Amino acid sequence: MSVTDILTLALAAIGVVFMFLAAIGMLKLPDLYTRVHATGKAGTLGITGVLLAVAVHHGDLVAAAKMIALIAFFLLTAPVAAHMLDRAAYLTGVERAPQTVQDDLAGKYDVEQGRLRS
Amino acid sequence: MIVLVLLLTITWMALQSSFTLPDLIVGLAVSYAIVALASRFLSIPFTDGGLGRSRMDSRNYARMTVKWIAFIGFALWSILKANIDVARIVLFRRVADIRPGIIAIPLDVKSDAGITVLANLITLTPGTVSLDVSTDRRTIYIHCIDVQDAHAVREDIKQNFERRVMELLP
Repeated sequence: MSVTDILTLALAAIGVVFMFLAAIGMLKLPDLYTRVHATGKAGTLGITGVLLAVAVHHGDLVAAAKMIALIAFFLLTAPVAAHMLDRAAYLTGVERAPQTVQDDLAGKYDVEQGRLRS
Repeated sequence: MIVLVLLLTITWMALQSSFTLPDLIVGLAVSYAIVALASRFLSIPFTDGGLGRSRMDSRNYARMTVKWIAFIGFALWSILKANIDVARIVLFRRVADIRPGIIAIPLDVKSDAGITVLANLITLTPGTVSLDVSTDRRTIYIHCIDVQDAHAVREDIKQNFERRVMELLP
């Protein structure tokens, strides 16, 4: 096996492991808000690993440039998705896990209008 | 600006329709020069925080470029740490032991771009997801997967993230 192959395998393995962890997190964590942590974060490194593996495997700059662009777009958009999920859940009153210890947002929302009072 | 440089570089390479390393380097150099020369005439809201505050001279431009590169490096490092952190919680913590919570953090960053970057950074980093920003934009609410010490979380975000974002997008 060449160095390129080993590097490709290593990167793909890292990516897949983190995506697998995100999946475990989905099953194991107690409520929507904590699950967003698992998918929003472990997911990003998972995708990054796999895309980098693709770039290394092809070994040319066209592929590398495309993959890096993809990673950049993913890193820019994934947090927005996580944030929107959390916010929508909070506004529609999705229950928090019983072990939740603190909620500085309690009573701050104008639920009718979906606006946050200052 | 760095976004502009990268976009110009990609355009350069696409127009050359050759993606070799020399092309990348030449493209980067040309794009950098174009942005440096043109920055006086561009009022890019993203660079001055939309306040129309400063026209940048080339020295300032170079300094900001270095800062942006350092910032991107810091962000990538934080993302790596965040992933390992969440992986540890998923694998080794008993679900009954984690203490999630929502924490209010006062904001010093004022610009739209600054708040956006900070919120994204918070989401991508260990144990925190941005939830919402108050209408008067003085407070950001974050969901924290494991609150041991709300005060420490607040300080960490203000010292490590907000300070860096402030330097780039006040």
